[in-house]
Amino acid sequence: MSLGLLVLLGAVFLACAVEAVEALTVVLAIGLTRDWRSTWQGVGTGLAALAAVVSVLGPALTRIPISSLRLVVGGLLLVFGLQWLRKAMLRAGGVLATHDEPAIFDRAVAQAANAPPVRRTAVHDWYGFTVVFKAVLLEGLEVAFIVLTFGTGQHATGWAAIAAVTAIAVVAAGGAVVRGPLSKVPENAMKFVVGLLLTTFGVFWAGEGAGARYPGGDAFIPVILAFIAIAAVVGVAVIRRRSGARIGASA
Amino acid sequence: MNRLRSLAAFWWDFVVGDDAWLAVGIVVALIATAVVQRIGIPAWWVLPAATMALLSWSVTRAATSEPIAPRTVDDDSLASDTDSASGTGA
Repeated sequence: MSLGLLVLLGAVFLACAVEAVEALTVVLAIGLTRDWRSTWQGVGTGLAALAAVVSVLGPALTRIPISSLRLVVGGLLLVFGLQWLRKAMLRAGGVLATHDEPAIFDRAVAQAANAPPVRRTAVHDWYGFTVVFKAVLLEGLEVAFIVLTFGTGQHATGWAAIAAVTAIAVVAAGGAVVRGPLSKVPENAMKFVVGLLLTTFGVFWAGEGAGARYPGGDAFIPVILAFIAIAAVVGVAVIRRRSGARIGASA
Repeated sequence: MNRLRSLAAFWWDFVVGDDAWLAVGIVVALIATAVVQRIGIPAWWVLPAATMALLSWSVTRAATSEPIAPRTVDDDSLASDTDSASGTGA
């Protein structure tokens, strides 16, 4: 197994673990507050919808001609990764609020406790079902997107899927033990790292797809990573100084 | 038709996110990479440089226009917000 593949699997694992932590918070908040049966129905239906989306998107990606695959996949990954990195930098710089699972859990519990129970068809608690369904589907879509783009870009979809399933299993096991939000997971730092890795692989693949030849081939990936990481860290320092100045000016 | 539009809007928001100019900039940078390579100049530096410039520009713009947020308040991934694409975990 090459170093590049190991880094890629690490990126998939981290990204999927972050998404799984977010979905777990909602699942636990609804399950513990309302009704486990409807919660599991929401999880199952969300996973089924996700499988349907993947079964359409997966084959569509594999039909892209090999000459264009890295350009398309890399371009998508780059745009998607920049979105992650941008938000992570704004959070680290104090412009956007940081992700706080216990606070999110408390708010979800408070909302779930106030919503009236409504039964629809085979679902005992429609509120719990729909909230869990949306959370699983949306967080799962990000997992699927990352697995499919990383997997097809490196021709290792099977390995990427194994990394994703392992991450989800680890987070689910943690949730089963703690029976609460996984507040010890350094989510904001993980999102920053994932944003860096998505952007790095996006730059490398999209650049190659557009015709660029990187010095040393795959060995250039760490150089791109270091370049973007330095730029991101410097960017955060600049934002912190500016947001500090704005707070000082408005006080 | 409305559903199709909603679906397209969802996927656009899912992939592109809050700053569409980033995506536009990346497309321009990819075209520039191809053009520079085609005229015989090594183009490996174009996309990393463009990515860094675009990211710095986007983040600086957001930092000067967004209100300052409290340090550790939950953000947009709460279940009730998950019907918007921006509620995803990026």
